[in-house]
Amino acid sequence: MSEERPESPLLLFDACCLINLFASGRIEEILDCLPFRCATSRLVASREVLAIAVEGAATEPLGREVMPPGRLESMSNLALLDFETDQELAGFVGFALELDDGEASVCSLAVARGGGVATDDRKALRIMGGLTPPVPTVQTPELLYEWVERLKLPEAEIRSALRQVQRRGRFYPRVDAPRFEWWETFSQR
Amino acid sequence: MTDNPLAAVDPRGLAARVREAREARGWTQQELGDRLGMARTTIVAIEKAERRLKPRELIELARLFGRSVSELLQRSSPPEGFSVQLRSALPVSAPVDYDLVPYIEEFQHRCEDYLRLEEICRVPLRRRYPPEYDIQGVDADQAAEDLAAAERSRLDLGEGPLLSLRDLLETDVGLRVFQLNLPSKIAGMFAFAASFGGCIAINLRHPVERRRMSLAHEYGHFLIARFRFEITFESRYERRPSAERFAEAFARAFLMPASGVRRRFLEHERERPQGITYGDLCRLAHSYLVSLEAITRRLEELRLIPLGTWERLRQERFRVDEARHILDLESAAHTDDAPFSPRYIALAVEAWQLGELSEGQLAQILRVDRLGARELALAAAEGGDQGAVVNFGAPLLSSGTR
Repeated sequence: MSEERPESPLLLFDACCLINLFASGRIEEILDCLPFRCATSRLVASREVLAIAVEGAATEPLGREVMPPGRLESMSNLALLDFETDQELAGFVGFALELDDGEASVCSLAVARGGGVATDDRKALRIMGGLTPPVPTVQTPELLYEWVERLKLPEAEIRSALRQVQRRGRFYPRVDAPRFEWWETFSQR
Repeated sequence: MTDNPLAAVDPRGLAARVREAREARGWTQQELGDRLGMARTTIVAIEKAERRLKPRELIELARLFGRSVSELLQRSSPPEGFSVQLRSALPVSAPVDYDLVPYIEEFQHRCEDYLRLEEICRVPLRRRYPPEYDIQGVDADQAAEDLAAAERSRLDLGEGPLLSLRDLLETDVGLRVFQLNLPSKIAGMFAFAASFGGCIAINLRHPVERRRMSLAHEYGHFLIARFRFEITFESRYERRPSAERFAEAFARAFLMPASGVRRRFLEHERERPQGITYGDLCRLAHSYLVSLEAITRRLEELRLIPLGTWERLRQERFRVDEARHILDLESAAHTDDAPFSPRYIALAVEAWQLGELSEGQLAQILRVDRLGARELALAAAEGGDQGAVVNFGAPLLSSGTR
């Protein structure tokens, strides 16, 4: 069970980041040790298909493991947020002019509630960075780095988690992503 | 951000989308009003762009229509009459006992998505359309042979098999080609809009050989009646209209040109003093990526084998799939099940790499989930090393080195 951290900043996860954490096989553990109040939108939880590839499947068509409905709801360290105000609804519609509904909902809630966004999506990162004031963003390599540093995990465990994200989530960080060097070093060791 | 972000949206485009989505649901304005708790006159005003929607209303509309808010907002105005003209292209005698509207709508949305990708990447599809051919008063079969030869010559295709027909029609002619899951009785659809150009949808449920024949068939329609919308049904009726007879004959002649087929057949025959075999027929069909029935009927038509050969094979219950397996006649070209062309996928990946599409939008535009989108992006752009991804949008030569 995560400890209460009411003073911690709010971090809204988009589907892209949730898939990566799911692929690592350690999602609950990672969320638990982050210095944030972790959340996502109920819209993401109800509409997004959070699927990862089945480990070991090298040929097409790939097997899929879909996060079971209700798993996000059952996570004690991830809050599901609904729109509560007209400002949040208007923000959602505004972001939906440029993003898909899941991404727009997360961005709107983050802006309205003074939080940050956990995403690896280049477009979402650009839009969040272009707001005044910019909305803070965190990317998957930073989240995993934080987890590793806090728990002082052994190298083999780090490598395994990173490779799982690559293989099962089909995710490779961009070269300009924060902690890219760290990711490359550990995933290739 | 303003109080109502919809103030920045083109009201006519959004109004057209709302009307289109309502009609796709088959609801009257009164019915939609009842569901929203609004008067019919309010719906009329919304659809005429005389009343601006509020964010809460738009979200509720999207929920009722079963669409995403972003879809209602981001799609451009639907081209005038696309859906209506396709629906009216349905032959009166067509065996339709299902709702065609969702399929027509999906066809239209794919065309819109394609156009949007081209706009983002700034690479419009180049149209190399031939002049429209007039076959009035000419025998349909003869016109088909002549036109197929003329098109092959125009496109520098020689007399060999057309291995990637879809790519050819897209890149060398400028038609948009999609593979959709359509009701089994529909072979394909053809539509034309000023913004899209010629667009073809082929039934993905059909075997690849039949799909190629359907694609060539629709191309035949395009050559003689470019602006005429068409829904082609699988039909066995005897008295076909002249345009249908032409399109069928064109497909055969375009895919299996007389000179090339004759030459290959005679080569097979020379190698077989005892006469051509079932296996030779299978190999010939395989090399042209057509069905055994198609090649056999074509050989009959060219008087290279006796009339009635296909009927005899059919009566003998010749098992094509088994023969193909035994002769090891499977190939990648025989399993072309991708709904979108390589060009479409490459543009989508490029738009995503440019940061003009989010991952969710990429998935929506490729009609897959996010993992599927990542897989397609990696497959399209992987440079060999892990994570070494080719940036499709990067110029090959800097201006100084040109």
